[in-house]
Amino acid sequence: MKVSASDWLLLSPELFLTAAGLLILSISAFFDKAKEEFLAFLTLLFVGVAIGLVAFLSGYGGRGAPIFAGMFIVDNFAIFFKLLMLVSIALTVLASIQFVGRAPYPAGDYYALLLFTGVGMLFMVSGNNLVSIYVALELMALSSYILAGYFKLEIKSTEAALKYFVLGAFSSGVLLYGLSLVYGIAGRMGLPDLAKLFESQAKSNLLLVGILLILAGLLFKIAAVPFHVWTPDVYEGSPTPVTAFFSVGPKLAAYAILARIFYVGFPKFHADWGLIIALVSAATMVFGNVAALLQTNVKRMLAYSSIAHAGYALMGVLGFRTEFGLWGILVYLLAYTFMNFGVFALVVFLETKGYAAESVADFNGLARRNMTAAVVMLVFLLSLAGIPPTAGFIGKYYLFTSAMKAGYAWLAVLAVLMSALSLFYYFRIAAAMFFSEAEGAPLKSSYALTAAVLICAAATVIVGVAPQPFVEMLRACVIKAP
Amino acid sequence: MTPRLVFDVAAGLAILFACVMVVHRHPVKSVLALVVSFFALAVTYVLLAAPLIAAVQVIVYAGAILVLFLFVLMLLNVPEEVRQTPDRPIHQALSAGAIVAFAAALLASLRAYGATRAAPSAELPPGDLAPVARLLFSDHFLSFEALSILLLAALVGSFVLARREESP
Repeated sequence: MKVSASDWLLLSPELFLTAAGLLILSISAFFDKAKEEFLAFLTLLFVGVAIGLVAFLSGYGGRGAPIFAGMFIVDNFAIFFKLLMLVSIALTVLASIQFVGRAPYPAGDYYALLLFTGVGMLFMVSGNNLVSIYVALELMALSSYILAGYFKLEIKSTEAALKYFVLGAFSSGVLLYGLSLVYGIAGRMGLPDLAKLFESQAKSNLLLVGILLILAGLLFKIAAVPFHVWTPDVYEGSPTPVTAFFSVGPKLAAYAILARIFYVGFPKFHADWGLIIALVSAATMVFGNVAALLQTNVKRMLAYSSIAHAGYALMGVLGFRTEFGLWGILVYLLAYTFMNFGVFALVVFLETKGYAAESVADFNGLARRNMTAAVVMLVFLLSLAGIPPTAGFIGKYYLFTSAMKAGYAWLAVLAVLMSALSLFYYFRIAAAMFFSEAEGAPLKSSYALTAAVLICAAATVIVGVAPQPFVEMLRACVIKAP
Repeated sequence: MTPRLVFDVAAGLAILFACVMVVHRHPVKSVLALVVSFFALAVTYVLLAAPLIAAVQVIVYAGAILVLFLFVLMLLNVPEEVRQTPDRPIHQALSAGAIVAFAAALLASLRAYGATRAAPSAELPPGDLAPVARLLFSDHFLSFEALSILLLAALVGSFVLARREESP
């Protein structure tokens, strides 16, 4: 295997983030008194540099070919995901600043683990081989289990970490079993090699079992029904900035490898896994929306809402037969990242003000106590429900179209019905904010959290009002049909 | 005894003791059952012409990791598990049925597959350490390095979770 300087350059964002994580770890180990704000600022700076590195690579000529013996690939698809993931990490740092600092836990380890999770996610989307994808997934998962349990003196946080760890380890086992069956049949693990081999080979039931197990393992990570049971407990129990991160970051990575493995590796078996995806997608939308409707706890409601959104996104996976499906899911994920993070960031805001944000009543009269927060929350809720002119509408539009194009019109109709249903529970929060009596003094947000929320809101509105340039840009990020 | 018979006995023991490990209420006995299961697995690896994996299985899993488990269990003096919720017979029957159905489907597809073709040519000559090492540090070195970050994250994590807070 030959490694050139250009290969190392393509690996630079991952290397840099690893070094940054080690540095944060050392600083907090050697300087007990290092202020939490300082560590957060440093983390933010490093993530910013990593964003710059990835942005530089987006214009770099050497990208696109597999490197490191075919293990690693930096194509436009990977670059899009890396940028979005790094932005979600930066937003998480902004949302964490006052939250983690108040707790009696050392902040340095928190930010270091966040960066290690980021390294795993970045590796995942560039994985071009089943082994490198799996190892990166474990790196991401292991670090996120610990983040879930970071508030270890709170029993709910510990419960979240334990449930996430046990179920996550089990799903990793299922995934690994599927990978081993595929490897046993094919004798190779590079995704393009697999596709080439299967092109000429008759399919066997054993291979389909392997593919099914891989699918089950990945559906767990994106919290699709019937692999969703961990989600409400983990989202409720984890520290809220971590919940906000979980609802976007690791999910982005899971969608990315779902796309890579199934779009690049198993395109020949689309007819076999297509129907399963359609059924899972329908079940996820219906269950997620109905369960969210029945919830009174806001964090759990938003957890079910993000389950429902996984159902919508699976419609894009269905469309993987054509480039349009992949394109649709990229557009949707761009919108989803900002609107879903924004909603959770506002829950963080209420929690820093002493509200548990457990019940909808905590949002009562928010409009009178902090108008900006209420309006911004309304934007996110509208976007989640898919009302134009917000980013959520554009995303859903592309997903529904891709389901129609794949020949699943019934699924698209069901998705529209379920989106209408979702309005009920989103508007419960909106009604509480604007029409309920307020009591108490105005609430002021910290600068960092304000910045995070406003970035999300700006992205949600801009992508919604002027989608054309973004949509065109994303078209260039689709993996070329193999 | 033919190798085939040895394989079947070893595989059966591995499955049997894995079940014992799950069902048994005493944690130390569960660990001991797991040791037996791991040794039986090592025997099947030998018969599959993978002595290196068998050795790793015995030394690392049965030897190091399970001994560590035993240490922790004995240090913490974990008592016998008391089931608080009553057993749910319908859930258990359904899960058991699903496991059996899945195992049967898997076995059927494995047999159907095995009947159609010879085993795929192995990448490595059996039992040789050097090619494994060469692959690990050439083609797979990126995954290898990612694993080292993973271990570091696990180390930091266990430290974070186990450390006593001075000012709660």
